[in-house]
Amino acid sequence: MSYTAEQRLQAAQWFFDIHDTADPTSELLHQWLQWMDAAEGNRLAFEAVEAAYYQTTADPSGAASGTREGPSEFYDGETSVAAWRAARVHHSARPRRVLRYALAAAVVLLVLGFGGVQLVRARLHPASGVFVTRTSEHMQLVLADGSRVQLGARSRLEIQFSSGSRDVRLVEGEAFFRVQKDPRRAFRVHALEGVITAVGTEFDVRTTVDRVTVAVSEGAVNVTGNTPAMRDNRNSVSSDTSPSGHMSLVRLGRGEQLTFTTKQTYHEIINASVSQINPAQSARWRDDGWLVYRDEPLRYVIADVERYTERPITVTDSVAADLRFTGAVFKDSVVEWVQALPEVFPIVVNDSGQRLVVMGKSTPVGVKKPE
Amino acid sequence: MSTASPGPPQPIDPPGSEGALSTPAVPAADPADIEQLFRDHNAALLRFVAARLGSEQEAKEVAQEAYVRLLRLDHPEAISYLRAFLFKTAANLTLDRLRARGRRPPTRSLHDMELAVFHLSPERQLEGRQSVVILNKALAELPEKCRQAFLLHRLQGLSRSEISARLGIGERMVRLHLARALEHLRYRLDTEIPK
Repeated sequence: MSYTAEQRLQAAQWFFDIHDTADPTSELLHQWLQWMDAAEGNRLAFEAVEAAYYQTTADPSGAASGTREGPSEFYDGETSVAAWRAARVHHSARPRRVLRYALAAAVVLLVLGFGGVQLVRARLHPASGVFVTRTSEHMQLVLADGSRVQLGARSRLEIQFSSGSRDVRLVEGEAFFRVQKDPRRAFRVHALEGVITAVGTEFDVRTTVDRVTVAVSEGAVNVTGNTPAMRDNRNSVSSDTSPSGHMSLVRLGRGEQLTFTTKQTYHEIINASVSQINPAQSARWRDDGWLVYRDEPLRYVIADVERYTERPITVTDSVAADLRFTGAVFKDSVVEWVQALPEVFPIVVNDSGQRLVVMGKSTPVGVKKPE
Repeated sequence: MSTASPGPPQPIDPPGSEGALSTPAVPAADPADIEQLFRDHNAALLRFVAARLGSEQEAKEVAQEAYVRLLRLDHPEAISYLRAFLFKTAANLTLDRLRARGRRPPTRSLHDMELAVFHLSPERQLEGRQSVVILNKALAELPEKCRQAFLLHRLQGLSRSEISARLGIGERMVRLHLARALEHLRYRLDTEIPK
């Protein structure tokens, strides 16, 4: 097979978009043709799904008869049919009454490997559990309440639901949440010393070393944390301060991003700021594999892109670490991107074959990681 | 955009040949670019039109006409937009023909299996026979609404809005179900046909 599972799905979507539109716009056609040209696999996948479509037959004795009866089956198209079936087979031994709930609650993990080979695993819903992704791996989860999570590479998410609350902890890495409304049970994401409470919403959380970013693409979230720092920074956003001690609260709306840094020894947030973002840009790691940064210290950018390569990357000094980076990094070309950094920054990249070491130009070559 | 026929049916010549370029006093796009376009996209264009018209012969005529119009463009733009223009022109010409026939696009029949096969790469054509069994099995595996949506589309030629009304689900969901159905059929072919 000369295309990936993702290309196959995209091709199927393009197939219907192109052939179902009697009077397609030039723009649509242009986009389609650009997609076809973007990779050989795209064109092959399109040809392949086209062939599959026209090869189906109207055999009245076969599957096409439409006479099959069965329980109303929960399927919302969010996962592939193969993944859906894997989840269903997993539960088929249970009594039918349980089936619908079990299906709705099933966790379907899609693992896209390097070669685009699709492995499908299914698990019972995690009312509690730990989910870990490897380097470059993304994972899609449907939680017990129907909320959806897309977990980025090298990330760890711990889930702990109870009758009164839905708590998850993003221990490391990045996750995008689309939260199912439930007025009786708050949905809270814990990240370092911050707590993000969803208000019917879509948002992205990224934990990088001692720093968390929360970006809201739909709805709103409330962020609380163990700090007075957020109170100081609240003038730029609509915010509210809890009267109880140093618990602060910031409300983030669509297109707003909060970044905070924690001082782990005191379990305190020491720095927090809110900025405006383009939600479409922050969604790109999920959509097309581009990791987008805006005015972020190089140390965090590097720690973040490192989740997409097996090669360790170290920043050895604050000269390099504090440089600000704005731009996009393609997840499959992280090493190449690092190697090209000296072209735009006053830094040196030392490639030992195993480890990439990034340092400011004034630092002597060969210095060990000081931390 | 005017979609009136430029004259009697053109002979089936590849663009860049004498027949297509001989129209006098009309500035032509770069013939080399057009020829490249033809090579790269002819098969896709023919299938694009044939799926709409239900006729291979008519598809060739429409494609030819679209090329001729491209060659007559006064201000050819970037090649990437020329392609979109080519497909857009073909879609317009197709609509004209369908209107002239006084009916909607043809119901997809068994016959159009041939349409998909023509100009497909050889390995695709080889799959033909053995795939039918796999495809029917894959159809049976689909979730109920997913399968119904696909069959209404494939066998009855219903539009998304018609399927939406029939199944009681939104049009976006219809689109998703159709794509997921086709994805699954292809997935089964890819995993079960020995290479």
